[in-house]
Amino acid sequence: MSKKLYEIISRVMKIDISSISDELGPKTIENWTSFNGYVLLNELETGFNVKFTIDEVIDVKNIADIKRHLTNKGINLDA
Amino acid sequence: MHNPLDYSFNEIKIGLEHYFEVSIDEKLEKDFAKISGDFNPLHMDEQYAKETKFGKRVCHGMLLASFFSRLVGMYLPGKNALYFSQNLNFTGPCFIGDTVIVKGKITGKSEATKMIKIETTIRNNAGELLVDGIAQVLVR
Repeated sequence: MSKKLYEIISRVMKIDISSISDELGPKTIENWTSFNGYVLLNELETGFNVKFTIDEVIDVKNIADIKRHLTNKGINLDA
Repeated sequence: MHNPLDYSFNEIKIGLEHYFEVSIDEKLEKDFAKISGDFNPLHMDEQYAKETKFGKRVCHGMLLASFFSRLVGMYLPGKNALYFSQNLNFTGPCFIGDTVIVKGKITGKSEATKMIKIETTIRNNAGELLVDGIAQVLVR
């Protein structure tokens, strides 16, 4: 797991780190509103120094998708 | 029409389209020059414009682009819109007296951010593309 990624998700969505799994997403995290989704996007871009395209944002359906896009941008989530 | 449509995020489907027509007249052109402060002679001076390759006054490109605000705020998605970004390509001139068709088509939806991607175009009545671009809009 990526500690940094999970810390960001936990902070933005106000959920416990231990409850985060790859399958969770906007349909299953209660606090994942449009506003929090946008805040998460910004926090990820700032935290990992990356930029997501609109097509990548559209593609995100769960945490696994976020991990995949971060990995594709060269981020090592196991570090 | 002064009451915006009221699409929710879930009601918006890929491929959904809306369009409307606008007649570009002298008053619109003058009003936009006043609002924007852009009195460039290509837009305002008939004599000057005659000597350019266009042969007559060209409508402000950003006047046309401003109709994307109507498209988003009144139609796609309407009431729940929060405009996020818009890129623009000006691909052809528009002249006073032209009627233009302003159109938007949903090409993407983000479940993660409730953002929609809209392909936005403006064509003249001959079907020529004058402006295109991509809008990103948050559905509140």
